[in-house]
Amino acid sequence: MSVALDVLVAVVLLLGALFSLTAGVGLLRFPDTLARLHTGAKPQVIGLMATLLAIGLRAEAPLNIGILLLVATCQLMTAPVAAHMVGRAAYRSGRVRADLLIIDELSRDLSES
Amino acid sequence: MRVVTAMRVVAPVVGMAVIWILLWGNLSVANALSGLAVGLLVAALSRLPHVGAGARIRIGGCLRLLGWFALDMARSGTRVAWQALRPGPPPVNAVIAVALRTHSDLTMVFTALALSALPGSLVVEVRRSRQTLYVHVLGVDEQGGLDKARQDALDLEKRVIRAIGTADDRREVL
Repeated sequence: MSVALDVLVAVVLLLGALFSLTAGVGLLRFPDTLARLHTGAKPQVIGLMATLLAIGLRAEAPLNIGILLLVATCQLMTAPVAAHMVGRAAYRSGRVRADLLIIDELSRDLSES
Repeated sequence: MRVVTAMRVVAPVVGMAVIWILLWGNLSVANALSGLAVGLLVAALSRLPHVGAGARIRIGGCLRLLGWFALDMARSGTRVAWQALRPGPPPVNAVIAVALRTHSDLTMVFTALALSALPGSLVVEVRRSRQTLYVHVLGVDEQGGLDKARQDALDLEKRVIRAIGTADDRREVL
């Protein structure tokens, strides 16, 4: 029983680490800020979720699980906001590679108004 | 109406007290009381505008939204991970305007939050007056094209409305 749990925890942890790794690789490989935000802000969150899940599987007191849920909720509420603010700032300051976009309806609408 | 107004004051305070207890890591009378005190203090010091006017929380809709969110997180997370790792040129992206149908701020915020939290889509700009989200889509072709990406965002709006939408939302969209 506890061996099965250990294996499960190890698999979940490794999965989380893998997602965090792809976040790092994406940061290096993707060409512009907006694309990089996709890996910086998201697979990294999945990596954290997996790590929290692994800790939760081993947690002894229910209140510890409460803290993990709190961490997960805060991360899910704040990471998108941070990504949005960085993306918005990048877009507004022209740090967008227009040649990588097949369509850009925001600059169209901005130039209209 | 009285009950609703009381809920608006009580719910955030209780919520903050719960977070306080979780942060301390043990449930005791002292923690509960000090949590309520801190909650009352914060609520009194920072009076935030009420954004959830008319929002009705439906447990079934919320659970379905959460379940779908977890599934899509795994699905699109895997896709973005592959886009980062695969050899070859970077994915082709787009910024699309998605005109939401809701007039509720809360529905719009939750739709934007969920879109930004999911890998592959990122809200770069919001125009509140026209309820329009501008979404950066990573790898348009892998997501099934522009129309599919737009439709996905609108489907997400529908899921949010099923969970926390106002009566107006439900009449107009569902």
